[in-house]
Amino acid sequence: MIKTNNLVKIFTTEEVETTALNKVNLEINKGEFVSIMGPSGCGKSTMLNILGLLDNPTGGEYFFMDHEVSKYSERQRANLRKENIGFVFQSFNLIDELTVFENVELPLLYLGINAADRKKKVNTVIEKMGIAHRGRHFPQQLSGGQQQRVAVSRALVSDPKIILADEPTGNLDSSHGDEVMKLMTELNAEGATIVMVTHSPAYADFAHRSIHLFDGQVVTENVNGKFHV
Amino acid sequence: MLKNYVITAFRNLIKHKTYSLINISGLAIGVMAFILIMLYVRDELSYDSYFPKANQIYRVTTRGVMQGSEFNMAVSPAPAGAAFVNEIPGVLSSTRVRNFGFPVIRYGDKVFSEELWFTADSSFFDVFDIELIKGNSKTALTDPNTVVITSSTAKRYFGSEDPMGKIFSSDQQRDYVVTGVVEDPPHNSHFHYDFLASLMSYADMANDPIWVSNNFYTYIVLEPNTSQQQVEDEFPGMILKYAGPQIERFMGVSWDQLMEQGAEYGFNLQRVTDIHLNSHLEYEVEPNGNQTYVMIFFIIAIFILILACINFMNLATARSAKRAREVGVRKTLGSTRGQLIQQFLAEAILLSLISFILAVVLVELLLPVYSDLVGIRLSLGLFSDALILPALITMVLLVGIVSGSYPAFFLASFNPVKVLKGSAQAKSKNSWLRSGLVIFQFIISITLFTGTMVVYNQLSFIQDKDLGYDKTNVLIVEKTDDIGRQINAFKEDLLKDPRIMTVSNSTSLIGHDTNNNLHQVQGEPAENGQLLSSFFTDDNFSEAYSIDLAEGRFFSADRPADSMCVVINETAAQNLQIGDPIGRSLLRPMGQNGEMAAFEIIGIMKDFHFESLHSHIRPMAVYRFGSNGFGRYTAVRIPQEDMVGTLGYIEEVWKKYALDQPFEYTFMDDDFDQLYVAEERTKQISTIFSVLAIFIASLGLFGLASFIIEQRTKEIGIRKVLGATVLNIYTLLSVDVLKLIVVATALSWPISYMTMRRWLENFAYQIEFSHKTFLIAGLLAFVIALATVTIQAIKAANSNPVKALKYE
Repeated sequence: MIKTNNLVKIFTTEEVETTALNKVNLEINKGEFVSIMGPSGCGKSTMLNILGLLDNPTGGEYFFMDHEVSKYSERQRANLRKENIGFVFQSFNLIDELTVFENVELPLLYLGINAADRKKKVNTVIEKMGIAHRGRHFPQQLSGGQQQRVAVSRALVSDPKIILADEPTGNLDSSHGDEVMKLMTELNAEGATIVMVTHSPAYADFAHRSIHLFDGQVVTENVNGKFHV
Repeated sequence: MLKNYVITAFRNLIKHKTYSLINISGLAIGVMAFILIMLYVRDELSYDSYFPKANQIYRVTTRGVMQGSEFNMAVSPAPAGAAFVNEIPGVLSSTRVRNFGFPVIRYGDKVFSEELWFTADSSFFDVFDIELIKGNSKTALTDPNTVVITSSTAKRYFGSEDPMGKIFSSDQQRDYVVTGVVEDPPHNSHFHYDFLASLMSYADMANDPIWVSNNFYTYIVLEPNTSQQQVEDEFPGMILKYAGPQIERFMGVSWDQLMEQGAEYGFNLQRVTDIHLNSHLEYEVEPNGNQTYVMIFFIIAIFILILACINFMNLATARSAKRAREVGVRKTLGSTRGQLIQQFLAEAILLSLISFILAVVLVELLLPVYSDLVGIRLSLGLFSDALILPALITMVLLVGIVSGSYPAFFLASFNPVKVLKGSAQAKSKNSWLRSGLVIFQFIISITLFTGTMVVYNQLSFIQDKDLGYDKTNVLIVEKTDDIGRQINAFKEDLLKDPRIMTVSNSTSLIGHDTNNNLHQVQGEPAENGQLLSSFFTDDNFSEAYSIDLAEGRFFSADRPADSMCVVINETAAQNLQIGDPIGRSLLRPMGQNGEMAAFEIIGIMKDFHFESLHSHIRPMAVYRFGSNGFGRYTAVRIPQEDMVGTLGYIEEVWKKYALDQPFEYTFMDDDFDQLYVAEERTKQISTIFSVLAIFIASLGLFGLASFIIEQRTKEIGIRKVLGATVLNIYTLLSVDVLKLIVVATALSWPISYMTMRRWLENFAYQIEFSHKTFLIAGLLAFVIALATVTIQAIKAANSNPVKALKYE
């Protein structure tokens, strides 16, 4: 599903060049649950942004569902993104002016789905996430855990091929964090491919596989508790 | 999708109430100002365009140079119109109109002294394509002693009775029968009448064959495909044919000789729709408008709208940081840049729509007050004028798109990766654009403000200038010609009251049009003759107006021979170039057959401003009435105290002589102010709109300041943690903004200097430009800007640094 060859990302400011990703090779298959770990500044988020088609790499190749997308324009990426990728953020990134229902509905609007279908899909997903009774509330009226459920609902509503989660538990206390991780595991069990950036080794263990980044390079991969150098 | 945009837009508006209020009210006030000014401009441009054939109707004007003096008149000779129709191809029809006298008209117990009394050819209604409410427009004015009246006049005399066939009597020893009723001319006509008497009533006048005496307003209708130029090209031939022989006969010189001496004589055409704004000739029917002022107002209107749009842009952009995350989320979820631009444009158009609705409501509320101010009854005509609604909708879209496009493109260009990480959008490279816009706004505002001050100073200067006569406490009783020869008894009766100091009767009033007549000095060559403004008065003139004599004496009651004497002003004494003029004699035509009579110069008055300060003092000659002479105006000098009582006494005396004729009066200083109505109006309008402009610009500055502060929230937090005081922060924030004002002030000075120089050239007597004016305008802008910034800077400087830093 996802394959990178010598992926490079260099940030250039006026004086300094920073190599955020240095020849990263990575393969993620359909149905996998992969976590990306590493210290601050190791390139986790950069990696996730490129995998999520929010950003282009500076060099190397990136195959997303067999398309080489590393040179895609913003418009091409937007089209691929809205049909195939769901995002969950650490800070939820819900739009405050929209209700829970409207927030979850948003990706469907951009996909051009008609109102009746939108309503059905949104209701199904918020039902499943246990926030159906909160549909008319605004994000600020919900607890952190509930807000993250809304964010997850939004990521799921368009039936994406892959879910990218950037520290989904980062802003939550441990009980809400556990709850979200349980949700992720369930989704994965139902067939969703998940890539999750996290700081927490405990949560990383929920994944099939953990990738450790350090200074822009993959240093170790840990599959089901066994280390591969 | 649109629904989603509208929902987001509305919830954003409600959530950020202050911002929305500032944004919408700023735009609404701007749009309101724009609409109000444009209503006035539309009205000024609409003059006489309501005639169905407006594009084909022209007025014939006369210009020339005779004996070195130039004339340019709105009137033309009696036989011209008919001759043009007969001999010039393409001229379809013509009509003549003449205003003469102010007859006293009676019907039953109703008596009025009529000001708007005109006589016209029977072709009048055909030329102007006017339908009568009653009567036949073709025949109403064909017979002598017939009159067509306006519906308001009909109501005034006859109430609800049918006016047709009713007979008016007049002091002209004639009766007139009403043969038609016509709608009152709309206010946007270059002339207004209450009565149109048939010109046939005065056959001599109507059939006057003289081509060199100009008394009529002549209107002609051209065929649709005949150009003004084609017709004007025929005029020299007509003049040679008709005017040439007459001039030779009257002046004893041949036409060719006269032309060689530098004389000129010719006709021109003016399209009827051009008269109001573009015609400033001698003997206009009514004072016309001024195209320059209309242009100035139009430019002000456009500028205010631009100011409001800039505001909108600056405020929307200033708010962008708050919308950044939404942009990021929408982009992540698959929104394209185009969709986001659409969304923000839709929002801008929505805001524009709300502002316009508000503006229209404000306009409707303010129209009565505004109409009083501009002196014209204006209406928006939202539903009655088919063009207004489409025009407003176009404006809504235009303003929305113009003011919304920059914020839309700016917001839509946000990088989702950056904004979702919470890092405030990097300092925009376009901050110079926003600064430039604010500078531009303040240049306009300061220029407007400076202009207003100059207008204000010039008008105060005029009102306070020593005019050479005393206009205070002079009451003018008008239409005293109505009591005719009883005038002396009337004067004597008035003087019986000790409160009344002086009474003087004259044919003209200071500040009003006077006749210009060619005067020669006896014993000097005829070509040294001079045009002198002249009128008749009695012995008390100099006393009533407190005019000083430079030399000689004024007329005296004990010298009956003074009616063959003349008093001139200093300018005339100089222009005549005859050394000491006292004792010399002036020749001027007198009586019906125009024989020259000699008048001895007995005195020289110190120069006084008998016309508006738009013009220099012209040479003048004042004559004394003969034994039976009387004039239209009687000046009564009264004391400051017991004004009401004195006025009551004067009215009582008036009634004794004038019987049922109404008592009409003005005060000299009010009458004087009438000379500057256009300027006074300009002053009031520009004051109001420059205040509005500054207000709108301040809103813009508020937007910019909040933008700058928003961008620097983190910096402020860090500085505070490191020990910066509130004052430090305040200085840091305000200096940036105030720099812009200084630049704007400096740039506005040359612009306002040059524009106001040009305006002042309208006046023969001008104020000196004072650097104070510029300093005050600049200082005012600075203080207003400082106040605007202070509110926000203090708030930012006092905010808790922990909050600012946690924002990341």
